[in-house]
Amino acid sequence: MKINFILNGKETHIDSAPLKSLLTIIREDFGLTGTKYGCAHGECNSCLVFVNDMLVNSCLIPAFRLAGTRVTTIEGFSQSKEFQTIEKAFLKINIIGCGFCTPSLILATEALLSNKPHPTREEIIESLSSFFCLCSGYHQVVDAIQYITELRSKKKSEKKS
Amino acid sequence: MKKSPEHTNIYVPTSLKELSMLNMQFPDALLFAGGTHIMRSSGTLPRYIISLNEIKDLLKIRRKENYLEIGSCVTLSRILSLGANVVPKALYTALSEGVPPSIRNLATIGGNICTASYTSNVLTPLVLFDAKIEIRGSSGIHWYPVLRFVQSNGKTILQAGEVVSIIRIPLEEWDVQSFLKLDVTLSPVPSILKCAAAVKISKTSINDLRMVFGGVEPIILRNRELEGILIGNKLPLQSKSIDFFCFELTKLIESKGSGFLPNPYHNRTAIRFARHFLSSLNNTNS
Repeated sequence: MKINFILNGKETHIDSAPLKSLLTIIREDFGLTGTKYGCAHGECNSCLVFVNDMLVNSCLIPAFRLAGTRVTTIEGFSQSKEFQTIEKAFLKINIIGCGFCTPSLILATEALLSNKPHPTREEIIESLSSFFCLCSGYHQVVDAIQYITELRSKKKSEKKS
Repeated sequence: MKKSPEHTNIYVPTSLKELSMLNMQFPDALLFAGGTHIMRSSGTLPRYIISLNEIKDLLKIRRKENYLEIGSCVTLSRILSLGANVVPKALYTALSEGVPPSIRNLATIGGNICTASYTSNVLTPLVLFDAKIEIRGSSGIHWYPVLRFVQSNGKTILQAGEVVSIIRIPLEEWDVQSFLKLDVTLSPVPSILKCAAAVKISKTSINDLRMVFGGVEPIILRNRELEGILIGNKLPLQSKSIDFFCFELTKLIESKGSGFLPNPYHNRTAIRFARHFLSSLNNTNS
């Protein structure tokens, strides 16, 4: 099945089995290994990507649903200004982790903040509740997201003044 | 990875008319909505798949005075985007607290109903509100209560060539609503509990009370006689009335066997939910 879609800003054409998952396509066909293969059941959230700006589990999307979509993986998102702010916050809070779920945590952070620029701590916790991260410590990630909201508010007020 | 036949044919109709023609041509085709259930399944998929996501009529949301009509391919995140003032609270809580954001963006309300899985988050609150679904097929259009539509875990009354098109949720004024989900993630044995309750209070007495439990088999437990025990009772509820309700609920759950709530902790939590919900009514100022 021939499918055209946009991957990280570039028009892409693939010939794929219709039920092959987006996760397999981006990792094996395009070598974009920032998206991790975890449970492949939509449970662990290691494989998150943006499809048409919506955060989704790439393991649950079959190839035939990709036609005409815009897919952004962590590799594509890392070129954005928003990524830099998130990266800065993660480093500042000193999140220690193996890195397996970090790409998805970063994309989930962006998804949360683009919908809700000033989330409460409870809302942040809720947005991260389905992650299985055994080493970073959830509190640090929550702290980092709160720090980002402060950074972004600061930038906005600086622009206004 | 999922096993698929050597040549899988995907059809993407854009109207209900096209869908109806395809359904007649391929009555055994798999209907693909959000795909969150299908992509997890390990079995071999049928040779013909009909994707429903491009059919505009299945993506509509209509808000009427007395009910909310949701197209079967509307995603759970779109339902949540209607807001907590529009979506009944128990359903809103089930979607916002029971389903991760990334799944909400994919999963559809129709898919959640049609898979009739014990893991479905929408079935319990939909049964609580007496929601109905529209089924379209070669024999015409029929409406069924969700409770009647779902037969058992993985089984519905949907026939080959039929499709669920609309979910109609009555919008009523409930004074207190509650939803609770207790899951054992990655448990080797299916084990889950969902509790939903709603009550209407008229002056100082209970005008209407509903309580629905979601388990494994049967996947839904609702008993009108149990609900009727406290209807008409004055608030504050006496502790012996609550005790009697919980006693009857315990008997009802036990009558379903261990297949309903295989985890004893879930069993006890269902009773605790009922007791807590009923006790909380004594603090309402309606």
